[in-house]
Amino acid sequence: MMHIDDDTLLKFVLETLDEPDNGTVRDHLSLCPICSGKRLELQREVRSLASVDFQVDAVVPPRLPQRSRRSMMIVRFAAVLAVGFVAGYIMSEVSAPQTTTTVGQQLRPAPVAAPITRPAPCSAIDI
Amino acid sequence: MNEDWEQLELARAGDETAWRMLFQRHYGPLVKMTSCIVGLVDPARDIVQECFVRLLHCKIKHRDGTFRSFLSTMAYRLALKEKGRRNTNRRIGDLDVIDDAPSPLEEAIRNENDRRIVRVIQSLPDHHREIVALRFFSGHSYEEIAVITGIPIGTVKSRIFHAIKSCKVKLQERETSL
Repeated sequence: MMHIDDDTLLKFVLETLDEPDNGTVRDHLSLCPICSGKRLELQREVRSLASVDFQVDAVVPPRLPQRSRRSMMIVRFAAVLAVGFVAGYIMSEVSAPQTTTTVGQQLRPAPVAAPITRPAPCSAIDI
Repeated sequence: MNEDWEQLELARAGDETAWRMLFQRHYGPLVKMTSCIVGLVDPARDIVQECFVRLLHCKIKHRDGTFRSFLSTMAYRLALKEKGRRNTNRRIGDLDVIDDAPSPLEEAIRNENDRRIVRVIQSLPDHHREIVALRFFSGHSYEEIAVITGIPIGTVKSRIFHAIKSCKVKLQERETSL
């Protein structure tokens, strides 16, 4: 039985083989324990590359921009103002005295003013 | 992952929790990837911070790809820029001296075996190292790497094969020399 060469096996492990060749290698590996052993060894080596452990300290993310915070503050402030305005309006409506006038009151004639009396001239007053 | 895009929108609207979750999920792999490209950990951290700052302000034209690819593309480009800047600032007196002292990147790694692997990866040519960083440290698929780097997928596969083959040979040489 012809064994798979090292380059082809590495390409298979790296998943860089195109489909016809990939299938051929897969079929061979299912039958050949020697090549399967080599494949496992290669896989272990390749995985060790991916598992390199860097000392990456926990770092805080950059601060969110002030613009969005400021806009959130403005929105909150506007909401509080709106709620206050609506509540104030309702309260004033509830507590205000009711000043209703009837039709009879509206049609009643205005009171007649007293006749204006002309004052006597100063010469007429006998002091 | 749609969840990431949604969390970005929440963060942009001022949601601190969404912002922290997004940051914690992507910070580690991005620092690993950019460290590998730049060769230093501290500038890599700065690059990743810069990426997240840009995320908040940049105009996103489309969201067809994954958020991870989008972020990695940004980090990859900034890392290349930083590497180029460092190379041009280098003077004759700053030329590397070949010695056995651990590089700053190696010093950030505790495990001795991991240090050995990183040293070998650092010795690869730039175009191979970048692909290895994207594949093994950020965990991108070949299709994603092709989009991030802007090179054909066949070239990506070819480079990864040659890079790993080279790593394997160098690691074996080091083992026999010890």
